[in-house]
Amino acid sequence: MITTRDLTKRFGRTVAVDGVDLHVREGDRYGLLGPNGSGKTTLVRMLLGLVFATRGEIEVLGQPVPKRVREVLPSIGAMVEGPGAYPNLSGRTNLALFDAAGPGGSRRDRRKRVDEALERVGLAGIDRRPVRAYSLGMRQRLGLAGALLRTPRLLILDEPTNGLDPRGIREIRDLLAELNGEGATVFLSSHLLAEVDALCTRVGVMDRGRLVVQDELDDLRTPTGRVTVGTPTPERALALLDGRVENHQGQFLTVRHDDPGTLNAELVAAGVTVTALAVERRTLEQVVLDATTTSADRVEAGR
Amino acid sequence: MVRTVVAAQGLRRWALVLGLVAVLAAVPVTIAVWPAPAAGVEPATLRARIAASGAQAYHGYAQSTGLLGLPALPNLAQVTALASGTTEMRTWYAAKDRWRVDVLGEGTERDLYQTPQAQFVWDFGDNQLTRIEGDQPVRLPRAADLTPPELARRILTTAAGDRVEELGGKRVAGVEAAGLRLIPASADTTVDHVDVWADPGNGLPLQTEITAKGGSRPVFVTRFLEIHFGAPDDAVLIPPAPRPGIGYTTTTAPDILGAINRRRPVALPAALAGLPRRDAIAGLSAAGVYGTGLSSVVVAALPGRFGGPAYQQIETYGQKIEGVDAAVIATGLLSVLAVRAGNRTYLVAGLVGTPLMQRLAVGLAEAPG
Amino acid sequence: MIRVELAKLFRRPRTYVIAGLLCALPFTVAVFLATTRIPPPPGQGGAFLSAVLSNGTLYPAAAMALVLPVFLPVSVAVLAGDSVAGEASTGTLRYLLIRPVGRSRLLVAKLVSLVTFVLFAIMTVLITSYVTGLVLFGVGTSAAGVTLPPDVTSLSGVTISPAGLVLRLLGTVAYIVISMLGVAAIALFLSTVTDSALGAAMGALAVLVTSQVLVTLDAAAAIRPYLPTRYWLAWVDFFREPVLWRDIERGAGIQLVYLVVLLGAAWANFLTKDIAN
Repeated sequence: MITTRDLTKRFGRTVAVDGVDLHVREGDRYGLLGPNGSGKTTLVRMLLGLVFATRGEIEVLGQPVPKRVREVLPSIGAMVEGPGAYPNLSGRTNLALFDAAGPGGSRRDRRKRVDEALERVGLAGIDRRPVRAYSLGMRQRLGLAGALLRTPRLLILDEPTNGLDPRGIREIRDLLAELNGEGATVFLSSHLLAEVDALCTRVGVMDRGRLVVQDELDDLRTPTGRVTVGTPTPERALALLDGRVENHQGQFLTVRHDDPGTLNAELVAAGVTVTALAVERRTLEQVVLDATTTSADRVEAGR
Repeated sequence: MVRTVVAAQGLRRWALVLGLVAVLAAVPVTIAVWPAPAAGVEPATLRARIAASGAQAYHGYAQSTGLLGLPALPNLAQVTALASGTTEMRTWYAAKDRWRVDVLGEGTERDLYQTPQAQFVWDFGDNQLTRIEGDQPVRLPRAADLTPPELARRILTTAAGDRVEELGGKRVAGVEAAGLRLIPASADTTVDHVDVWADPGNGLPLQTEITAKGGSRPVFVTRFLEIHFGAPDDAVLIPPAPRPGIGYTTTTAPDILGAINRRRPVALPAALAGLPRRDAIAGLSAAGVYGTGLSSVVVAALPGRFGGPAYQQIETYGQKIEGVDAAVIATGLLSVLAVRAGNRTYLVAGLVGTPLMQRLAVGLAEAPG
Repeated sequence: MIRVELAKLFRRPRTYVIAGLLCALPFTVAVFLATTRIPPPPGQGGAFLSAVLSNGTLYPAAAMALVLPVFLPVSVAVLAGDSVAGEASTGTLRYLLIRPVGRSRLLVAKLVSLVTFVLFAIMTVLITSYVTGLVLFGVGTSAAGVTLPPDVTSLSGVTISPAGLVLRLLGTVAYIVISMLGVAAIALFLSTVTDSALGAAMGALAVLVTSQVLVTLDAAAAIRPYLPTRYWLAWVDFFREPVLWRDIERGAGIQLVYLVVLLGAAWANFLTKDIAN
């Protein structure tokens, strides 16, 4: 769905995006992680033909961008860096105007399309109030509705849950999963680990303009070589596994061991009751922390 | 840095726009510098054709520009504006006694109609229509005198004795005009030369430039910006009819000089500073013309009421003449002299230098009141 | 896209506020003129102002002369300066572009919307000032109560028939719309350069003020015919008899040149511009 090769963008002397080879496959729920200022938004804008690359190639839905971006944009629903709406008009009018501005979509069922999009994002009951009076969350939902107007094959969403409360975040997550189930590819960028962790199947991590990690989420969460063991008699287990226990907290032990099966057999053979046994895997946070260097908004003392 | 496809596109677009600008800018420049072929008309022949061009009907748009820098004199502001500013005119000319000249201002207009019966002046600013009856033996200069044909013919007639040279052709209002240069012989005049470009066929002057002595650029230029030969539409030559809502007067003396001439006849001396007074037209008493050719001057006697303020104005802006109650404004081309003698003020104007004006001042101060 | 731009134009309260302000100026002037009956001295003040006291039907022309030099260009500059930069700052520009709306089409739609605004504003001023003129000055009744013919006096003194007046006013409207094209193009171009709507409007006004100053300066006579404001008042020539087309033609030509060049510059700049803030 999306492929970039050596994609680079400079603004003057600063390099915003540096040699990115992005690869999003059909049906993916792709999460692009990275701190603020790591180049996520610039990358998204380049995919949509809003910002022109300094170097490299982009292919979206099989077409080169920006050369033939106008052919693919009708099949893309996007939200870029916060919602944009005419503040003096109502949400419904805003959607109708955006719908009318682009090609395709007949005039007759515009009303229906707008109503459906509003329904999907949970704004079915909005009145004629101007967008000026909307809360940030409502605007965010409206922006999402705008992206859904034309039942897109590809959703490109930049920070889609910004400004939403936890319930709203959950609703949007469910909506995106539902859309993905209906066949849409979802590409979203976020600086929230939990959001990506909860929704995405594939993850990319940006750091200072570079794409430092890109893989299946499951493959990233590799076993750490440790096993968590729960037992009502931790003293006996400690005595048995002397030297291999890294941590002991109440009835739980963290044991350095490659194979939970043999560990279990060993414990049971020694007569230790095992109530819980789990392979410890790397968290997404660790993946990100390992891949990135320093926080982008941290300002070090002069060197 | 690698030049990207988009950057190259941007450069191409800018190049297209800049190319367009260059083409558009080149159009007026090319038209201006495109050489006009020489018409190959003998200056004497051209002069004769110009003199006979009074029969040529035309209509057009003319512009006169004076760089004389004359201060506004009381009651004479309309005259001094002609010499110191730009005047835009529309003219329609069918015959010597049937023409119209509009002086255009921003949001206003002052039109002069000549019909076989009378002259009419319409002034939009004053909302006033004036019918001028009878001859005007003496009057102030007006815009209609400054259209290229009128000015060129007047100068060439006045300077009948001075020689003319051939001048290169010039494109004026789209016509490839033939040029001639008049060089006055008199030492008294401030005029170095007068250039006239006229239609080589019918002799209608299209541009007239006066250059003063010591100057490199003409100080007075009048030219057509648009010219169409042929009789104008009859309807435009019919003056507006008097009707309720606009002012209407009939007069025989439309300007201050005419009024003075009618009310206060004065005897002017038969000669001044060695210049003989030219034979005046019947009815002319308040003003006289002295000298010949371009070095001739006009002398007018003003009563105290008008003369006093005029004298003060000229004294303020001009230079005092030693020994007599007189001051002169010399603009390089036109000089204006004011002389106070008794309760009378003499105003002298001409295209002459200060030395002659000083002699005239002495002569007028000694003239019998 | 043009329909969308027009919908945005006429759904914005701002449009009506500006049109209302444009109507308010001639109305205020008319009220003062009608109550005091002191006409401006001939050749000074706005064109036609002294003439309207005797005939109210000429007041639309006087109203044009009042709003044209400052009010109308300022409002056009403000709207045009806002057209792209304003969309960029509300964030709607990027959503329009990924709809997708072609960038060239967007520029053209913006220009059409501006022209529509000028037309709308002028027509409002014409209608309100016509009514104002009729109510406050009446048709052909002067202060002394003397009945005058309903004909309107042209600058050249001859009368203009009511049908002729309507034609000339229509010509005036068309010419003023064309006159505003230059301003609109300058501000539109600047609007694609900067993200600040105010900056674009100020830039366009700076160009206009400079041009206005240079028009009156004799030393700048060489470039005078090419200044954008040089022929702005040429619509007055519609009220001469016969109509003086020279300046009207030149004014329209100059405006079209400015339009083509600056729209071209806006196009060259906007089509490869990064939409980022």
